[in-house]
Amino acid sequence: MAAAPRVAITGVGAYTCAGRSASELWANAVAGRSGIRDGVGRIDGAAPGEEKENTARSTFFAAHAAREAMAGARWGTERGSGSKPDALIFATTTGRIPAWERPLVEHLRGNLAAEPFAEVFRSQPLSSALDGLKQELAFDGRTMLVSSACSAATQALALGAMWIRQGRAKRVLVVGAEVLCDLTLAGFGSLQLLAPEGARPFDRDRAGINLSEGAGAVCLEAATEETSGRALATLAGYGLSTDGYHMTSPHPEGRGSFQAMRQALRTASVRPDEISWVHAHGTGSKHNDASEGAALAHLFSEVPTAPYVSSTKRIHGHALGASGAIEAVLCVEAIRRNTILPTAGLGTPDAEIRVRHAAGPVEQPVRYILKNTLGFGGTNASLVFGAPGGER
Amino acid sequence: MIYLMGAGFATEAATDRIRMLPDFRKATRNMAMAYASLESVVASTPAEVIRETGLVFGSSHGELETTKEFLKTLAEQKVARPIYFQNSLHNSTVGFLAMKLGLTAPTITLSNGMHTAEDVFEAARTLLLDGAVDTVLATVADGVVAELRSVMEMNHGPTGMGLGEGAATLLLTTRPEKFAQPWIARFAEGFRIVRAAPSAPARCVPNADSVPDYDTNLLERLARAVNDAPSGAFFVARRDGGFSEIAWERPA
Repeated sequence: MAAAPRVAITGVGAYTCAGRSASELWANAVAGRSGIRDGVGRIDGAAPGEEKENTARSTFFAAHAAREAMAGARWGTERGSGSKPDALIFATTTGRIPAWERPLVEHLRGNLAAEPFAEVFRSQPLSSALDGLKQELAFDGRTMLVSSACSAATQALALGAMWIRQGRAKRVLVVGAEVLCDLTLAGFGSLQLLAPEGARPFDRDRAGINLSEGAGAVCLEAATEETSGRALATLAGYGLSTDGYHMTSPHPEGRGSFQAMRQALRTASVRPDEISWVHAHGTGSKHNDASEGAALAHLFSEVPTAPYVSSTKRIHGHALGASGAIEAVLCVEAIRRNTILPTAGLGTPDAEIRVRHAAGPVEQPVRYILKNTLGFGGTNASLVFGAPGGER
Repeated sequence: MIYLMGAGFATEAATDRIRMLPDFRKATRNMAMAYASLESVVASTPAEVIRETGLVFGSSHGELETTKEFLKTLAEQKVARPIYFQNSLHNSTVGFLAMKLGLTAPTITLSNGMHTAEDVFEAARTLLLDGAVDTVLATVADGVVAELRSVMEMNHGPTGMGLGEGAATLLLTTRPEKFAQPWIARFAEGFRIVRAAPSAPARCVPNADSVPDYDTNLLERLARAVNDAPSGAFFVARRDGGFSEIAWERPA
């Protein structure tokens, strides 16, 4: 039986509160410049014409990130030009909700008639955001929309890698996009999970998360001789698991997250001691960081020098279902530049979380990065990114 | 080869019974319908198999009822209720079912309008072919929100579908030998996208009275088509104008 194709990453794109491109996001992350204002990562100050009429905010973010990634991969970004992806996997939990959440209330109060409300309510299914993106990219191939809470984009990347390894697609575009809205801002507030200022992941005095909006995009391709000159990194492994423990809290010992990381290492054929850096989910919430920290301590318990563990949420915020895609962009940039990012906002590390922190950006060879996400519903997903040319 | 080991559908009576159970006091309608659809499938499957079973869940409208309640309460009472929020996410049903069934294997939530159910089958097949799991529950559910019925009906008009609610589950595996019961049907491939309607005899079970007219009812229609003929193909129109087709065969 022929070996499964390896998965090359040939393009990345980002549109966030901390940078409107992958390189801008990276530069701000290295400099520790945060896009968080008043506790949230809102993308404002858009230049005139940036928000096209009838183009929803999430679609705009997604299309911008996707075009950057596709241009980097040398894929065609307009109808009829260049290689096209065979498949598009989109990740979101909010879709186009800002278009209909307030009109919904007005309709229920009797202030908005059924017909005009029905018009905006067509945006309710998350697929309306995907349809908008397809239209923007003139894409007509197979699509899938993942909505597995904060693990959505990480799962989307894993599914894309599986499709390539199974020979079902040669090129897969994965895009995650989220928008700030009343539902998530008030909802996370009701769970007392929001930090009033910048988040402080893994800090003793961490007080919660910074919700944000934005998009990340990643081009996956079956690795060939032709892609070897274009590959920025590889998606070497993935692992998915479930806690089955609580609707909103992760398992306190990180049981599910540990399982996902171990599976990701296994599919990548990588040992824990080969990991150069862990890009953690690290939201800055009490429970998340403790759970993830426990899982990481367990995973690297037998490694003489454990890898650095960092969260970049203070820089770009927590973009929920898109976070896996945005942070994948940073992982790829870290491999390209052989630089490990520190945890922005970390002052006094929580002594109960036994992981290795970087005091600042660390320049060193970056061979493999382990990326985590933990989501509501106990949904865990982990990825292993590798330097190009170093695959097993 | 992917084997169908069991299929279940939610009935109104079963959903109402489940909603009365103490464990389901805080459950949404989607959660109850989804559980109703998989109850019998799970009951006929060894417990050790279920623990290691993946779950792919799909819903076109997601948890609209609780989202509406959250936003309404927030606007009228200036109160954000955590229980409504945690149950408003599309993957709330997955989180709930994972707790109920003790699942630790991969669980995925999908939503892609009329293509959601097809995607659920495809994602389940992807996990099975990957070897991440050897058994997957492929489950869909979509409910109707009474206060929004007229608006939902207006938006469903152009799709050619009516507005109904329901849930369905298919139990899929690559290891039929792990089960006591024989396999029902098998699929050599998944849904194939074709540009023209299949020329060979293919079945498209209409939305008859026996299949409620909900967005994700394709799994239920597929299971009923499989039950009607020893082999064949099932096809469904796509919103881009093409068709998706899947072929099956039953045991000789």
